[in-house]
Amino acid sequence: MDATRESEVIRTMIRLADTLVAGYDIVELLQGLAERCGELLGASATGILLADRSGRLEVVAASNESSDLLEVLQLAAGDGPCIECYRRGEAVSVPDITALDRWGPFRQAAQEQGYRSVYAFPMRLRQTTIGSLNLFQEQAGPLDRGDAETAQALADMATIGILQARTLEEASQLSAQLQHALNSRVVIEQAKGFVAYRRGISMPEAFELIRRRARETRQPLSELARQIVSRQIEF
Amino acid sequence: MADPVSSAGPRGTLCEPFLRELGVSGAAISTIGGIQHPETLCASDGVAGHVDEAQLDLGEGPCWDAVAANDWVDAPHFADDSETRWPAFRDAVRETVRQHSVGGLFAFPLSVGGLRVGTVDLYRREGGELSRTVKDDAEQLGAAAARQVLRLSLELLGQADDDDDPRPRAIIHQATGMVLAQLDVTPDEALLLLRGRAFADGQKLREIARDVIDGKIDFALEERNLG
Repeated sequence: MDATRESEVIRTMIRLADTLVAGYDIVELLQGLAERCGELLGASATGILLADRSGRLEVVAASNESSDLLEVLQLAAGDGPCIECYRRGEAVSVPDITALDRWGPFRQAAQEQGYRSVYAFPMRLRQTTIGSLNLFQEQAGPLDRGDAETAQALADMATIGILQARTLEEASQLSAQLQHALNSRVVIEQAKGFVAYRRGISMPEAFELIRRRARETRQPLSELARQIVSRQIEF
Repeated sequence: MADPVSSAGPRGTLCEPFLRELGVSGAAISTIGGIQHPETLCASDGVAGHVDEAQLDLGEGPCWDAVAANDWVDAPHFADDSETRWPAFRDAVRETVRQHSVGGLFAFPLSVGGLRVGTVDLYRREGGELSRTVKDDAEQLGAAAARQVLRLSLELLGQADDDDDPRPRAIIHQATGMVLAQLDVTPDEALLLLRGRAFADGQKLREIARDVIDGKIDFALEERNLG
């Protein structure tokens, strides 16, 4: 890793540590992390997935909200590298997607979107894997060791973020902490649907609009989403 | 005469507002015309229960006609000889109607977002038409009851959630949000509606969600078309 990159990574880590101390919205934190992965690791796209109670992986954050990326993530989470990484609790590398002889629907969708390689890193807490951080690249070829280590460190930071994100009245069990992060995302998806219908725009456009409003009004994204869905504010 | 259907639990409370708000003598709610096998969900007393059950058994009566017409069906002088509709049903309830001097029977269909879920039937001791005001009030109560009927129906059908697909459920949450923008319902009710629609159409929840997102299904439009 060159010196500039190293200082970038350190800066990201410090920023994350700051948010962890200051109080934050978990989806926003993960969203920021997903976006930073592109800048730090040169990933074309990043998605963070968490497992729900039934072991199904749900998207909690993605570097962009395009339906194409979400579609590829969906497939990778159903039968592909993401679910494999989650189940095995270890990193899964696919340096050349075209050479895959399994995960047919994933391979096809990934290629159609121009992705050539994918790397899935487990989000682990001791013996338990709670999800995966997934990097998509437009070039084939292995991830260098420094990048892989950085990615795993970011996945660990994300895990800590989720485990810390709880209000006092909430239970401290892992399942409750995970559920909190997943529920926040559920409400955001509902708010996207709400705004997309009301304004006649696409889901990604709706997400951008909600996100912009959250920033302008200095509210956590999931709180604004809750207000939209419960019709407490006009949107 | 049939025993009064259980008045306890969530089913028992279903009929109660109709009695309290409308000044009728009795009310029953059934899933006639809905997504599940027809059955009585609640009846405020034995008379209402018998009137409802007889229609279920015989497949005729104001409830069935209300479903077919998608509108109120009124029998303001049910006991009179001038009433010639539903001969088998009238035979079956003749004794109950005489003993309890039932004057008028009225039925109207229940729906949520264009999805039919059941019917309400009301009876009054005195004969004569229901006023438009009473009917409007009844329809408002019906809108609230319809959501509970949908919930009960899905529970009775054992349709906890048909989505066993391992892929993320984002699409279902987005569709739920769209329904929230279309109808005045809670997120929980919006999801129930999607599930009810999936069951009624014999499709997967995910397929219905996709159709909602693509604008092929719009519950606000369908409610207007049905109403």
